[in-house]
Amino acid sequence: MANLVERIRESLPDGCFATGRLRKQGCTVSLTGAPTPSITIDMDKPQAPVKQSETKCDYIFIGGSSNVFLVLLELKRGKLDASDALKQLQAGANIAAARIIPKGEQAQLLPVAVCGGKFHRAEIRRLSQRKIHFRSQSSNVQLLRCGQRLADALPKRR
Amino acid sequence: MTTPTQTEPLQLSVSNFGPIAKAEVDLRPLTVFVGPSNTGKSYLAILIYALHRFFDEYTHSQHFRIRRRHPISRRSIGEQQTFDDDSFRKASEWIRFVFAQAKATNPSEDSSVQLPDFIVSMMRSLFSDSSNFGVAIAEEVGRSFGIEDTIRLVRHGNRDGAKITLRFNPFVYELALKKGKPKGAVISISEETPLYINPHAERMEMALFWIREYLNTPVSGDYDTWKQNVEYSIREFFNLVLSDVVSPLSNAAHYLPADRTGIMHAHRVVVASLIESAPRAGLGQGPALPALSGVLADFLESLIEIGDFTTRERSNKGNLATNLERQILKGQIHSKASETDYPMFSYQPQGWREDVPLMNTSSMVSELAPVVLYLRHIVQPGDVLIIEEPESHLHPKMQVEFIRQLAAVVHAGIRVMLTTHSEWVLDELANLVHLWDLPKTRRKGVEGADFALNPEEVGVWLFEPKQRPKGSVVKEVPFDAEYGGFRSGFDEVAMGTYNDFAEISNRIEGSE
Repeated sequence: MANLVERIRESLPDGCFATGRLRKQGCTVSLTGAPTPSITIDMDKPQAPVKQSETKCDYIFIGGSSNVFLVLLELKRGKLDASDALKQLQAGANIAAARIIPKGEQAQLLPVAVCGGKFHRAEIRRLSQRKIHFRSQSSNVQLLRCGQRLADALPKRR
Repeated sequence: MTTPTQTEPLQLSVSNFGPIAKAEVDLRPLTVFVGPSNTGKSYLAILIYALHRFFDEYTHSQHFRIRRRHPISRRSIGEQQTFDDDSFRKASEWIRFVFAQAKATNPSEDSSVQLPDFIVSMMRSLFSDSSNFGVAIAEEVGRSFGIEDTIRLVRHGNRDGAKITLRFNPFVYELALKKGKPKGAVISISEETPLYINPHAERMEMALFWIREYLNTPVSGDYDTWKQNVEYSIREFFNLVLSDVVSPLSNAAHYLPADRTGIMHAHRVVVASLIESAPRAGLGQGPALPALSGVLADFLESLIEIGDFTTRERSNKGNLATNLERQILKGQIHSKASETDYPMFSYQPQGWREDVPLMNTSSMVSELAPVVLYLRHIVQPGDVLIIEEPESHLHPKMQVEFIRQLAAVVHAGIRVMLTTHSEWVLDELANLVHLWDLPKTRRKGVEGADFALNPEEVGVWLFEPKQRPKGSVVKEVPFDAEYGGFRSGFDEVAMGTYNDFAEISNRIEGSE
């Protein structure tokens, strides 16, 4: 039986996937060292399983063989806005649950906010008080700097 | 100096100095050094203090002074100048000309006078004498750091030696510290840029008046005595000219060390110990005299000096001290001379009749007491006030308020230099700089609205440790509105601790 990642790849149109380095608003994330096999859905592409007017996160990364990660990514070049990030990442989790990860399949949730600007204390506090929910899982948002690797956000013990 | 150069910042380049591999810093009205511990922030601040202190003393006029000088002053550069008959005649004529110029103009208009070639030539000759001038400046640097051998200031393991270059157009000052080489420094003066003085500058008008009086006094009796008197005045005037020309480097600097709170509590014990040990200094069997760095010794000396003052407000800049007392301390700092003339410092909380000795007050009061005392009694507009870690012992709210008050100090014409580890300090500074872009008419009701800082007058410098070359590299971090402040690296720490929190929470939840 094909790996979960492969099955999801086959279920989505080719045109929705991102290739190479992830970039939005001048903020980039490298996929070097990220778990494989993997796919990354660019939620801004017309083929993505989401309406363009819908609230959504920037990318959904699904990767790994035995342990598959579901990484929701929101990128911003400027300052962190916790409320916006939480709203968009939760929307991404909802889309993943409803349209991307088949029912009955498990993937480890990891919401990530990537910023180039200042992490203000008040925004960080706001972030720490809310979790992102995906089916039975809930998880705090991890932070990355623009230019960092996605692998840096993954749990240290994998 | 009344030339366009006056508004240009001092540029300091340093390599292989203490923990610093490389630094190029502009000294602005408000200069802030930020970065991890042990990266050389205080090293650079002490070096700047030493350079100011040297030029302040080396160009001072004993006769036309406006503030008390260090009792152990070295011979000023003007005192070393000799005049032959030709230069005496030229100097006298030029002083008459400057006096006429001062009288014909008023202080509000541009009345700057170009220095004649023979004066510039005299200055060039004095400044390029590395055996005299150069050794003295290296000694002041060593004294400020509290070390005898300045080679110890060279970055560990470095063979090229330390190099310090200071540029303030048209001067270039260079100091090299290298093992086996004579320590020394020279100042070179660019040939192209003319030098000017302001005849209306503080002290200059008074000096001009008196020298002209001397010159106009008929020679009665001994010509040589008359000439000696005039020469003395001209030398003193020459010091004022030098001081004006190398301004703002010749302005006084004041250093409030990071451990000022402890010193405010223990200064009597420290001074008593020094006095008690002094008679035995140099005796083979006696205990060693406690060693202090120059900045610490100067701080202690200033505390004793403050005891001499009895008035609360010496000038309108005293408002700065009073505002600090009102806004942060919620009480007044008092200084009284004891029976032995030694100063005693105390704090009177608002609404109290009695004073509390400083050692029985909160650490915040002891922390800010020297700032209040310096602003009230010592620091003059144009001076440099260096404060290590202004955040020490202050609640974040008070740190924010303190930065606003320091912005007012900058507005009053006092140059401020800070070393800091505080994100609150930088955040408030960023807000005050950001505020500058908001028109005054729209600032009403905004916190800190009266304290907006011109971005061009603020320089924040980040000290970053590097592996190759091993040592810190210093770079400017400009205010970045999109980023939301100065890129100081503090929020990387915040990000790290938050990510740790998130990971712990996620493990507790069992999501991984």
